[in-house]
Amino acid sequence: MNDSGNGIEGRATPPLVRGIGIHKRFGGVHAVRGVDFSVSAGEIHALVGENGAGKSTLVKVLAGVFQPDEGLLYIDGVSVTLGSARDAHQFGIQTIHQELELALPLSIAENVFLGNTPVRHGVVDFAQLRDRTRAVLTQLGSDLDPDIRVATLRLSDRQVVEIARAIVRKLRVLIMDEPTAALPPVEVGHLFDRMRSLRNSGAGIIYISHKLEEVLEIADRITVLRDGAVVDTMARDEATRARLVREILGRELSTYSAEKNTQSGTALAEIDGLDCLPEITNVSFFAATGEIVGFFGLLGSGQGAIAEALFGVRDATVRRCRLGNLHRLPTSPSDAITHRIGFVPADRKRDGVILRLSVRENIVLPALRQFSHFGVLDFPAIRERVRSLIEKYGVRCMSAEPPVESLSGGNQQKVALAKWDLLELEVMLLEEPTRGVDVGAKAEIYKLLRIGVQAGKTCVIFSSDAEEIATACDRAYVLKRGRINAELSGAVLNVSSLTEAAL
Amino acid sequence: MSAVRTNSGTGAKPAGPLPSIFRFGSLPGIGLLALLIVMIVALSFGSPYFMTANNLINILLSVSVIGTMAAVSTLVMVSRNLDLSVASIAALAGVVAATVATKWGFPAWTTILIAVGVGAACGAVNGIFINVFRINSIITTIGTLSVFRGVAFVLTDGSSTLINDDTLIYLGSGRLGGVPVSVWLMLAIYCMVHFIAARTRVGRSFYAIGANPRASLLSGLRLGRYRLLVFVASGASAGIAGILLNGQSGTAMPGAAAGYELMVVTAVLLGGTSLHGGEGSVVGTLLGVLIIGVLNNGMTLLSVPSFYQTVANGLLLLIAVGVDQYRRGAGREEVA
Repeated sequence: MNDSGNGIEGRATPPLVRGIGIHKRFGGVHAVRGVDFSVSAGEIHALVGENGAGKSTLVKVLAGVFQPDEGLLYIDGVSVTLGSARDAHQFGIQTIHQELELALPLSIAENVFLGNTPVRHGVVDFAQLRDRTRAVLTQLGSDLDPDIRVATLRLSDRQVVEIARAIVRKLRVLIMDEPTAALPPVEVGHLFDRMRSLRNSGAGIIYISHKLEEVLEIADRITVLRDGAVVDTMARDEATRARLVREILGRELSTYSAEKNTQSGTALAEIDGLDCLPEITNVSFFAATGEIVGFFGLLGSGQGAIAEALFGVRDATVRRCRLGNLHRLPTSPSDAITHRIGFVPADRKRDGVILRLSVRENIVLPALRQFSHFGVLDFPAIRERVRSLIEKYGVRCMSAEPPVESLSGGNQQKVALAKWDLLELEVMLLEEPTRGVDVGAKAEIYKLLRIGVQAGKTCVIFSSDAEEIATACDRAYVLKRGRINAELSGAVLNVSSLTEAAL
Repeated sequence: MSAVRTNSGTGAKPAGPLPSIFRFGSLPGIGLLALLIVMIVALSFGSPYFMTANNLINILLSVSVIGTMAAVSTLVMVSRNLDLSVASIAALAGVVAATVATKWGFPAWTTILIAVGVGAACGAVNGIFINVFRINSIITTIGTLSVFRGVAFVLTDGSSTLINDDTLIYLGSGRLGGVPVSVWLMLAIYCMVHFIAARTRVGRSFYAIGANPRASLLSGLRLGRYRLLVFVASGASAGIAGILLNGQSGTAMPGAAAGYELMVVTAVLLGGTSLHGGEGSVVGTLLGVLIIGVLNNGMTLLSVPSFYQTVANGLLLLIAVGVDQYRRGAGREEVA
């Protein structure tokens, strides 16, 4: 623990908001462990760390969304209890969410004053609305026209509108959780200019990001969280990229001894120059029989877009392409499946399985045709096959009849995998295949994938979990800003080199 | 590893136990059946005429038209669509059938094929329109409800056509083993649709699509095709309903069956099919149809003025929708 984070104590003005010894547990998970954190007026304090390090939980405590199990909160040096986000708003602590909460068809001014529109004689006072909006935008160094519809704005300007709204409602501390995750690089600088204007007007900003270059560019102070605890807090001048990477990764890297494949067979997927705008530009790769190939990128790097393009879910262009026996991109999921391509989407509950239907109906859904004779389904045959698949995939359920929603996350994911088994696929695309899955089930899923490729398939895993890619894949591509930044295999395919290449 | 119970697709929690007559969960239709029996028992005390064979047959006859349409409408709603144009299609198919039979002298079976064909074509219009313009089915079929009805008036210039073909009259008014042919036809359709819903690839796909369209798409189901199919089937069943209407009244009127679409929706919802798709049964719908029939017959026997009967039918629809909503969590504002 480094003391520099508490160095402000000596100053005349206390920090705007400060937490001391904050603990937060969710069931058995100790998400935040005794964290001291503060932000002062006129300061941008960046919070960095891996997925699951506790960053979001910590700021939600500061924003009143969660109540700490232990620890104290101070605002302007006075001890407070924040019972809700509304309490935090009273003190001027506001959060800009990743999903912006704007009414797109309305004007900037109407959005900025949403919920407290100035009224004169019972009608909206548009002149005042416009003038006050313009004043707030000027404070942020923005010359946007208050009458423009928000729908026409680029993303970074929409964030500016959200910040302006926060200012109108009272803003002393602004919490920004990955605000640049979805921003194209050209707009990041624009947002940073607005953030600096806000800081110079005396607000404090808590800035969460995975992108270390950006953190080093914008932050005045940086705190590294790992496994729910503060590893280090440093002033911008003391920080280097190497130091941050070392502290973020910190722990001994886990040494999995998964069986890997070093010699690859014939290529089943060869993609040359895939563009899937706006996230992905000019991505080329191949995947061969017997191989598990990974695509690693930080959250929001667009690896999911590649998977969706290869499965015909979203539009993309490609210079040259071969997927199984298909020499173009599929036009729809059913087209992809006809050409022996399968897809396990990231959002299991929404896209991967149908929660309300039974295990049996979920597993058999893509292959219904195989069991239908003149349209009529052969239920005994279906039950037979489903039973053997439940066994093969180790789905733990009483029978195949209860709805999938009654299973645990790991077992739901096994169902999402098992349903492709009936269709002798050649190319299996998996997005975040073990997100929210416990360790035991993770290992089982990797083993199942390995068995699949040994039977002559190829698997491509798209993931933002470096450990997953390092553990499960034989070879991996690393995405950075929508392009392939590195290709790793063998001994260099490990968590630190993956993270290094993605940051 | 403990099993985690999560909510279904809509994300809302079930809002506690319901009065047991509205529970359809594990034993579909048991509650409804009880409701139906209670109504029948109560009415048999209320009116000496109610429990006569003649009256019971009349009830079945009175619901045969909406019943015919409601069977396929169950599949429409299971697949998360709604077809409000069925009654208009029935009227249009009816007047076309009457015209070809009476004015052009087509034989009965050709006439029936033409009516079913007109219905299927109207359904195809619905399905194609929804697929191409991606407009939700409620809005689309409100539009075609008016269009098809209007076309029926235009074709006939607003006038009725007498039916003089014996076979067509027989289908509407004849009896077989003491039971009206219309009722046999309706029951046959229920058997067929039930089989499709429970045992066929297409039927099970409707349930999957209704329960989660996106996951179904990602499993390779072609949503557009299934939507077209279900609307064509719905239109075809409305065409059959049009034939029954003609046969029962002996005339084809462009204004016939007005408002029946709401009775159909009421019956399907009463039967436990969800407006949110993915669940429902044809058997439940049949019970819903019978409840509507018994209610209206009972009110007539008890001399309830017809204006109040209209109110009662509206309340029944609201109750059916309310129960459906309540089952998936009431009092929760939808925040998109």
